[in-house]
Amino acid sequence: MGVRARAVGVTVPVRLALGGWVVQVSGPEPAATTLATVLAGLRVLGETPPALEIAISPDLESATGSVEMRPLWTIALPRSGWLGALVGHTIATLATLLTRLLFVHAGAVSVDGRGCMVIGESGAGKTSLIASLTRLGARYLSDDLALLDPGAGTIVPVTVPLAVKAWTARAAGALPPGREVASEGGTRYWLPDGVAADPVPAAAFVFLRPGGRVPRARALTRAGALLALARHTSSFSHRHRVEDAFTGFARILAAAQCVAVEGRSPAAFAPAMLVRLRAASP
Amino acid sequence: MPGGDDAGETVPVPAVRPDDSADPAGVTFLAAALDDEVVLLDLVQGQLVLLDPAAARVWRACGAPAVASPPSAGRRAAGILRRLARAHAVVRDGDRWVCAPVRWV
Repeated sequence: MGVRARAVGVTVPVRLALGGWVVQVSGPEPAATTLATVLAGLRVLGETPPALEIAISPDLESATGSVEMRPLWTIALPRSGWLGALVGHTIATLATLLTRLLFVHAGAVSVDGRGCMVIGESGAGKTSLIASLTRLGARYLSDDLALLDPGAGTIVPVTVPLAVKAWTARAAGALPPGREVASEGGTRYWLPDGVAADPVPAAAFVFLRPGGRVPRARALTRAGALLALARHTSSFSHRHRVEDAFTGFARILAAAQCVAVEGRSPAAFAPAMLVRLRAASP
Repeated sequence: MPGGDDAGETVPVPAVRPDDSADPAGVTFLAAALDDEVVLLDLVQGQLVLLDPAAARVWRACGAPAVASPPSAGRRAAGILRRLARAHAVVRDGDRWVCAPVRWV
């Protein structure tokens, strides 16, 4: 579904039941339906966060997200990239509503039933690495937001499509088998086949860092990984979650493999990373 | 020493108790042992402090009541103690250093 022109149409309400989470979108067509289509694969299982209402202005200039009649955010929507802004704010809202879980700005895959998180700044190559790992046989868990259950030590799937920008596609090469569910602002929203439905144990944390042309991996201590998570956008970013984050991340990291991948194109490291992750399987 | 991977590295986080109030048990730090390193969360100042294996040994010794004379001897230990003091992880108590009130996670 391509939405390339600014939409000015009839405002429609769309109600999404995403497992235990209800999201209501109202806005001009086809914008409201496109956002709903991108979010439709998300399943919030075992949690019942309060419903989110997203109201997109008729001229597609702004949007407001409200919970229990209380506005949480209002954003100006860019002419190009409005869909990404709305998806990002929706997922960020979910992260703040699920107070039992910890979040990290990260992608994640499952390799032989063991979860691997890929952490990096925007533009570091998370999506291209996740796409490459998925194409090579890993199961897709999430692209931009990873949720962790500190009690169970698991990564919880957040199955919003991969947001594939032009440079992501170039870095990843072929995308994994799947389907395009939307396209806007030069970004294709690609949902891989065979997404993981259930949480998987958090077994590996991969931190993407700048480096040379050829990516290389180096072991990171678990304590160093805990500090790296605090430096990154995560539950550590919110004052009321800092203690939970410290306790929960420390417990999860105690049983995890931690690696830093340095290089301009981390997707090229995907085959070696799969070998490494499978070798570490019990 | 922010920004590097060296011992003593700190990372700022939001202060949990910026009003300098300790919890009912008087705790101002949380501590997590990960392999032979320790990470401290300073609840009042709002920062994580990484203790490398040597610093972790010195800091643990400061919390051991059985140690009559904490590791104040030696230039390296003295340097570590100064760094721990700057991070508020140890405080001077007479002629010895003791750990700030801490809870292990």
